[in-house]
Amino acid sequence: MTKEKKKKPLLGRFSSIRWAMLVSFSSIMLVALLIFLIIALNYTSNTVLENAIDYSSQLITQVNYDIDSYIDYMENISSMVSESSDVQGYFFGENSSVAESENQRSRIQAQFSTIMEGRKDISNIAITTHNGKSMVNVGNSELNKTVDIENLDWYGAAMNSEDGIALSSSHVQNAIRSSYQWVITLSRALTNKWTGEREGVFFIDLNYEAISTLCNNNKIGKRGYVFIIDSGGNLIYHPKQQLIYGGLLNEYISEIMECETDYLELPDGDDTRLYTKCTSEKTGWTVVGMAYTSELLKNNKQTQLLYIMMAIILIVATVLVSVGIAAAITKPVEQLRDAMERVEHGEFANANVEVMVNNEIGSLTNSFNVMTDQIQKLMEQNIYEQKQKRKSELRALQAQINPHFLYNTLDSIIWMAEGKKNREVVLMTSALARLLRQSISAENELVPLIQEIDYVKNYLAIQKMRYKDKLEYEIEVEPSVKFVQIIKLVLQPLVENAIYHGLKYKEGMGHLSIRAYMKETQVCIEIADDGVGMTQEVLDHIFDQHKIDSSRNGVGVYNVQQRLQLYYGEDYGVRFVSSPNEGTTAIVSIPASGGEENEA
Amino acid sequence: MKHKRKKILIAAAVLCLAVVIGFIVHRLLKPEKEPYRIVLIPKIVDETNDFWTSLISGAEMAAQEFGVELEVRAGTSEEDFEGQNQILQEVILEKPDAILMAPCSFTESTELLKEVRKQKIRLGLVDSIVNESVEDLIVATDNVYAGKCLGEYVAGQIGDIEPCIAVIGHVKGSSTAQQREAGIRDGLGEYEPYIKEVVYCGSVYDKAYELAGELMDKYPDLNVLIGLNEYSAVGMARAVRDAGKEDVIFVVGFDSSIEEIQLMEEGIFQGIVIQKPFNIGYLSVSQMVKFLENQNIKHNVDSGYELITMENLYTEENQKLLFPFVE
Repeated sequence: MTKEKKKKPLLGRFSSIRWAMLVSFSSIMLVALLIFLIIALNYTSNTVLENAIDYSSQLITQVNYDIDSYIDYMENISSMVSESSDVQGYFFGENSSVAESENQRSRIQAQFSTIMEGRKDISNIAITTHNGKSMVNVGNSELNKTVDIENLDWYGAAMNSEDGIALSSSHVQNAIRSSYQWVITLSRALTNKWTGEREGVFFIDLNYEAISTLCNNNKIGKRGYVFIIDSGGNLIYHPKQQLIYGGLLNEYISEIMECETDYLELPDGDDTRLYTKCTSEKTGWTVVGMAYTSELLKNNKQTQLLYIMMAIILIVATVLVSVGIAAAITKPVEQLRDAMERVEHGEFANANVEVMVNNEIGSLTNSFNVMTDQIQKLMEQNIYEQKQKRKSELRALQAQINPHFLYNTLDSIIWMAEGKKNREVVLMTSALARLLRQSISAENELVPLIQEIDYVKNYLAIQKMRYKDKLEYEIEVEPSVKFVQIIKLVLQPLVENAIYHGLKYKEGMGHLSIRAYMKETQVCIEIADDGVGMTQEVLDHIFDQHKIDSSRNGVGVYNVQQRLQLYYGEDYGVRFVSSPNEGTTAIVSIPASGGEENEA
Repeated sequence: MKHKRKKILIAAAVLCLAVVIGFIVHRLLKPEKEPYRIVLIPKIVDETNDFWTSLISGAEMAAQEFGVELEVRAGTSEEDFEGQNQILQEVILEKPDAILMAPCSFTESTELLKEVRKQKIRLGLVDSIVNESVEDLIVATDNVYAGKCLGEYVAGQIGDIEPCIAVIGHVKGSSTAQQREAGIRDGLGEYEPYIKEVVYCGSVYDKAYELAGELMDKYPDLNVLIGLNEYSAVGMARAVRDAGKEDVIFVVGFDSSIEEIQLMEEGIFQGIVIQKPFNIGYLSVSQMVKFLENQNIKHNVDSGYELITMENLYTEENQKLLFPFVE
């Protein structure tokens, strides 16, 4: 059993081929589509991300380049100023007159004005030297006296650097009085051309005007931004610098510093931050671009949505088409199955199936049609043969009765003739003559019940003469059953039986009553006697065939039962009710329709 | 039976399509969220005051970041609680999503603030609080601790001499003044009884200058002056500078401004406790937005403080706190 179960094919678990086809088609398509979808989604996603990284890198490189040029430009200004003869003359010249010194001063002032004019990105521009001279902006500001400028980082850096130029990180410039601005200081040491020593510093404080514009113009996506850190990991510029300084925001500066590749992905909640960076060799600053991948992949989202939608529509379409195909393929099979079911129940009438397709199922249908035709023919033939067989049997049984009866009657006539009872002999002989005429003349197997009753009456007339004071009879026939068709010579043997086995051995007068009546769809003919009756044992063996051969006894009963059942079927026939010393009743039942198989 | 199955299949397919289409339409039609409207009512809008300027810029930065429509409305004096109440009443009628307020008075705005709650407007108190718990959110310096920090610093610097302490407060009855004073008294410890007098300048520089002069006259031994906010601290420091008493009087105060830093560089101020006004402004708006979005937030947000002395004035960390980064 279990082995059989294991061998059961996968698709055999479905109750119909249609479902098996539908489910298998659909699932194969679904799997194929899903694989395609996953590959497509991943591929697009990766490509879009790679493009985004490329784009971001290019952008950051450009910003880096722009900032380098910006610082370059500022360095050029610083070298121009620091090398001008006015600056040398005013700050280090020893022999100049007061008037000339004043002229130099105003020329420097004018130069400063020119530099600062129209530039919002320069906060301060100043020169301070060891000999205590200084010049700040356009003369309207002064140095912060409470601060020792020479101790400031940017001052020392310029003095000590190889090329005399230093670029600070972001810091608060406290060297200028009343102005505590966050700036980036570009400082250049001033070399006294007479002594060759570095004896002062020129510096430009850059605020974030230019840098922030550079950074903010190149941000990636709506929420992305660009920021700059120096080589020590300190912020030069960040659009949210105040938040970071206030401890309200964290930037992944150490991770970015440690990262060796050009880009870095860091998770941020549901999103991912993509950092791309580019370090300048000139300034040592690193420009970092931050973008949220969700924004970079925004278009990708739409593409993905489109893919998924297409996939869903395709799946639905596949299922619908599968339904159609499965129906088209299985419809002839189902028709064939339905036809087979009909044949199984013996309905040959509509068993022929129209052949709609030319494939294997078509030839199967054809073969089925041929097969059913042959079966139908065979069955018809079989039925015909059965009928023929039964007819011949009936004839044989009918023929059997005649000599037997004749023998009995003639026996009586002989017996009466010996007793010189001429009148009785005449009566009996004429009755026998009528009987015989009736029996022989009728060509038909079937006769109306009334004719059969007449026949019995003639028979009883004969018997009455034989058992004068031993037999009395009465016949009662309902009018409705008078013309019901019945097979010939059914009642007479039973009456004969009742007389010979019931009444003959009874002391005194015997009563025989024959009643024919309608009971539901049957016609019943009761032949009741009040003779000796039968024991249960005799009753049980009353239809036994061996009695055919014994001289008188029971020949008729078996014969009658055989014929009734052959003709009308097992549901009909004769049955006996009897008890010893009280009598026997034989009840013949036949269909009121006169039998379903009329010889038409 | 077969027809029924077919119908079910078709129905399922149609349903699938309908769901997908509905989902897409829903996504496309999803309306842009209406921005929150928040009104910030500080005690004063004064360009010369770094504390409030910084607080407002913090609030504006948060508003920009979270896409909030922020409006700032305030009177011209920290003492004018009536003017502030007037503004508050007007704002209530406008029914913004939330109000952020720095109440001038500890008691006088309480009833109106209850009305704010009744109108289902969210209420955040910034910098200062009121005498009853009416707010959804507080963002402020822990003024008691800040005061205590300053008190302890003063106590540590007194040494052998007998102290003579005067305090110049800003607005009498404001929560910040009360809490800072209490903190200072706690921090001074054994020297607490040497507080001779507490006066109020009403957050006016000149009044603080005058009061300091009067106190110096009244108590010739005066050697500790404490200012409870920027106005009182700067006003009294100017007076000490002008009187040339910076070597005699130990001057400390609250809040930071360019002038305070200059005064510290000049050696007038020995110490100042600075708040983080930018953080207060930023946090008040950002936390209120989170609250409006039904996220969990802390009811009471401490924005922190720092003690600045000449020694640590230019450390990198304190630079970041003292000077707002302005592009």
